[in-house]
Amino acid sequence: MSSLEPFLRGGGTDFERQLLSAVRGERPSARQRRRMLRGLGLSSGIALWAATAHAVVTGATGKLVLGLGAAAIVTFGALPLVRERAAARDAAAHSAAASSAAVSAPVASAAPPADIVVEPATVGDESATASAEAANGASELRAQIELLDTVKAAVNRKEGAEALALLARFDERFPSGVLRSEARTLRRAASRLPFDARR
Amino acid sequence: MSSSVLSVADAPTSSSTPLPVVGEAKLRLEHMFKAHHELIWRTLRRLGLPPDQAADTTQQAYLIAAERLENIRQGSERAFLFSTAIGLARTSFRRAKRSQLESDMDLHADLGRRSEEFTDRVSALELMDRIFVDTDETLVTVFVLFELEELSAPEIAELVGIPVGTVASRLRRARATFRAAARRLEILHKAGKP
Repeated sequence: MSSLEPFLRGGGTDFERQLLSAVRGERPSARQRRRMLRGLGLSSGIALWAATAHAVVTGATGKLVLGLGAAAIVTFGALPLVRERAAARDAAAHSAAASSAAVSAPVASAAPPADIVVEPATVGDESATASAEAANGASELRAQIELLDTVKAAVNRKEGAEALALLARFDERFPSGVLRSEARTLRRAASRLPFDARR
Repeated sequence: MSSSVLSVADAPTSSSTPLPVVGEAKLRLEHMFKAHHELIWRTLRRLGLPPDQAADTTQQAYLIAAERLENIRQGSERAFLFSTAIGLARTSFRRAKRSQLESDMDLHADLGRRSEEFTDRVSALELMDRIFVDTDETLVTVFVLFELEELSAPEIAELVGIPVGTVASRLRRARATFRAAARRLEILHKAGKP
């Protein structure tokens, strides 16, 4: 098996390589990618092209945070987790993508995913100021993540009042937080819970 | 296959209110999407799913993965997504195969009209869609992963959950099918030229 080479690297006829080359670069179109991201609740601003985003600096609590690179800011959208039946409803509301009925599907273009935008950073180049701002941004992001994790834990325990109180704290501390859409999603989940007696 | 890779049968069925994924889990899911969604989508395309359906199925695989993130071992994400997507596609694949068989009757006429356009990428894609229409998906999967994604035999074996020897035998059979179909198409293509 180790002696076998893919046809595109040798061994295939010109015609075979022509066929294979045509499909090799096929990718989801920009529209299809947006649809997948929406269905997953991921922002189209996700830094899919990680050349500029330095990922994963472990914080003091051991949780993962995203370090900000010199040239990119990663924006987060809400990630509503839906199950398959709910996915059909929600995805339909967003993009009608959940239906598996016959869809007239054009052949996807091989255009690069230009719609996935890595928003230009305000951090600038690698000056001391830029580094400090990046560190502050990562620190605030970590704080948002930690607070929302406690909200989620309260929701898991079915303590609606506790969860909503934590969310109020989130709104106060991070009025422009990048995870506010996730906070909204958690608020909806907490609001559906029976309130406990604690306040 | 790794014990951390769950079957589609383990897909969530509870009707309880879903909870959003935040923080660490979300970062992990984003990384998984970034790293693997194109491979998943392309494989589904070569198995016969139209582009939009391949996108829907890819999305469904990620939704299931999001539900099972805690049970997916680090490093096994691709294998989980892949096996889940293949499982989800089986029913759709059979449906797509039936419609392909019906449209396959028009292949000769289409090829004649399109003979001048063969170098057009869209035509080549459509021809590739037809080549494996009658082929077992297990063979197509190995062919796609080796020829198009250029994964090694051990990588394919791990991803699909089969021995390396089985990868080799399936690839041989898939290659034979591909070459025979490509030869037929080439003959028709040349015959269609003025």
